Amino acid sequence: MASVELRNVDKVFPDGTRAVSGLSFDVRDGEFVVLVGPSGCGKSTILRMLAGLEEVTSGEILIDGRSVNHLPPQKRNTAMVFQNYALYPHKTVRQNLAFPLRMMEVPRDERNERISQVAEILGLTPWLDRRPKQLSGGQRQRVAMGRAMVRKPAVFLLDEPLSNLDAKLRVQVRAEIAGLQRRMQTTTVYVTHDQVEAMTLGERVAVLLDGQLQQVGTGQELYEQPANVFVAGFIGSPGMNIFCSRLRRGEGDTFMLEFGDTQLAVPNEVIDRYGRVEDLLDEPFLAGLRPEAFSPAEEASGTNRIRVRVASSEALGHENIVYFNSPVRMHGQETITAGAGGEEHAAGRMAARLPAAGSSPSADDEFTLAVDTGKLVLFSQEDGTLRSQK
Amino acid sequence: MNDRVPDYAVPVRRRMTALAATATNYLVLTVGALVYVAPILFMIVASFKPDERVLPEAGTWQAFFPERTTAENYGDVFERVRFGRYMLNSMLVTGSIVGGGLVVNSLAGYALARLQWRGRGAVFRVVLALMILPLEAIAVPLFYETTLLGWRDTYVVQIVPFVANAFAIYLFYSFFLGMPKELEEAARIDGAGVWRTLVEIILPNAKPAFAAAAITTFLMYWGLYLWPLMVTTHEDVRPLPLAVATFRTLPPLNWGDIMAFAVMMVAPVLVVFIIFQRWFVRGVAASGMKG
Repeated sequence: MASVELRNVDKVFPDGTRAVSGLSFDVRDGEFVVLVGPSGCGKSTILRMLAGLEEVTSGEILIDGRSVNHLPPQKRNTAMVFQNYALYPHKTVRQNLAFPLRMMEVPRDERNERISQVAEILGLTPWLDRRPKQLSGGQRQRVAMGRAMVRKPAVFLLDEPLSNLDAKLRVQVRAEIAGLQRRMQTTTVYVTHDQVEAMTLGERVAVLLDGQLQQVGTGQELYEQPANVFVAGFIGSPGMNIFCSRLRRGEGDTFMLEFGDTQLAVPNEVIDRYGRVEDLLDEPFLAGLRPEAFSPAEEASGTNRIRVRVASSEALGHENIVYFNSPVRMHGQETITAGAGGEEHAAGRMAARLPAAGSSPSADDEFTLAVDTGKLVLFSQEDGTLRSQK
Repeated sequence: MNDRVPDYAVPVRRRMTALAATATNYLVLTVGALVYVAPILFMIVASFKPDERVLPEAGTWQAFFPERTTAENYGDVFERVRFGRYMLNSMLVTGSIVGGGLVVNSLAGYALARLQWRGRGAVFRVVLALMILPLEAIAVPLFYETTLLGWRDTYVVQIVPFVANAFAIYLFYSFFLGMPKELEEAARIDGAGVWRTLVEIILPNAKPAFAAAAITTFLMYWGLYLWPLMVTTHEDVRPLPLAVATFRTLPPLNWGDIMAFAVMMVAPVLVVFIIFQRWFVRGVAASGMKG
């Protein structure tokens, strides 16, 4: 077991593509960290740099406190599971598992014992004498895991290991991987583009965009306090609704979130989280509300109600995701400008997560939603970062 | 008169069209096959006919269905030339070119496809350029060079210039390029060095490329005539194609003998092809080349 540390790591490919810039983060001994981000964000490159398959342009990578920048892959004591498994097609499962041990010159008896152990844990014993092409996708995936485990490496590196499996198997293997890691307590860096995988597996999740680290934290932290609008939109399905708005002083000691013609009361504790109220008042910012902040209102009148017209809906059985036209410009969505003054209007859609009750709403249905502003998140309009909090 | 086809006739007509199309396909393929097979068949049949019947019957059906057969021609071949010696020479020379070529060309192909080194692009362009250069174009300077080295009338002069083969290098190059890179990366992470990865992971998975390279180089050099004619004078080292000439230049001119000789010369080619056929087809498909 070992800790992993990246210090100000840059990766620029010979063609000038900057894949990673100024990346610093650490993985504690025995921790399970997931790197997540959209395609091309540099997450696989980071993993490959940890494995030694790519050189670091600048910065330093430390495994167990020792710089490994100049160590070849075979000397780093890491094991990697590839997206396509990279099993040796001409070798049987047993020979695939034995290969890394033979390279380490592990004596034959110990080798056989370790292979049997790993095969037992992963349920591969009946298939030890088969070739990879005679196995199903799930079995191949397990062999790939086994080949990594059998070496007892200091660090596991997993590069989208579930992406070639069907949805059902993916959920099953995901649970297996989580269980294995807990049992073995081996430091693990796991790369995926699937935020559900990231949230369910990682003790901590690192979100990347364009080679830059956006935020590292537990799944809950990322969900509730995203560092910027990208993380807010990326984590969660559908992502956070982010829209332009202002804060106005309401009657008495209350504050109102104003967007378009809509005004919603904001609890004082939310305002308190963001420091001095004077800094917020009448200033444009980006407000974020998760789809579950909306709920069906029993009565049309009352505070924090909005009347919406359904644009489209997705019935998921246990809940409905309802999209409705937003009264204001939504961050990250196409803007439609209308009106003589060119004011922004009816731009983009908001999503609401509503319990499935009876039939699912269809387009153009109108109804009233209650909005819970207790988990409102505020981002700066200039750079989309989370407004500083107390 | 009404030209319209009645509705009930359509399926029959469609069936007839499909049948006609199949028949045409078979006809074209059969004619094509006959065009290719006929000379070989003619050669085999003629090798078992008395010499005086070979030419007179060449344009008749007896060219393929002889009335009388004899193995005399085969006996003649062994009497007139040292067939065994020529065969041994050919096998030794071609076998060495193929064997040595598999080692050298696969390594070169791998280095071009996978390893990072200075000048790789330039070397690759030279290999491509060499593919279109015929032996005749370099025969004279090559002759001069090998003579300077004192290699005339040896096996070495027939082998060494042909071991490295641009076509085979390209074949291996494209095969290795198509192999998943992750296999090598997995091997490296598992602790294998470059050589170990090559020997234990890459080469065992490159059988189709080896088969394709083996067959193509074998075919290329088994029938080579010009070069051995230039560099050898003694029959101790001369290959089979030069022995054929003996039958034409030394009387009597016996076509039955020539045919018997040709059959025995072609036989190893067929054996090699049949053995490697399965891999060859796969190798050619994998290298992305046809024909």
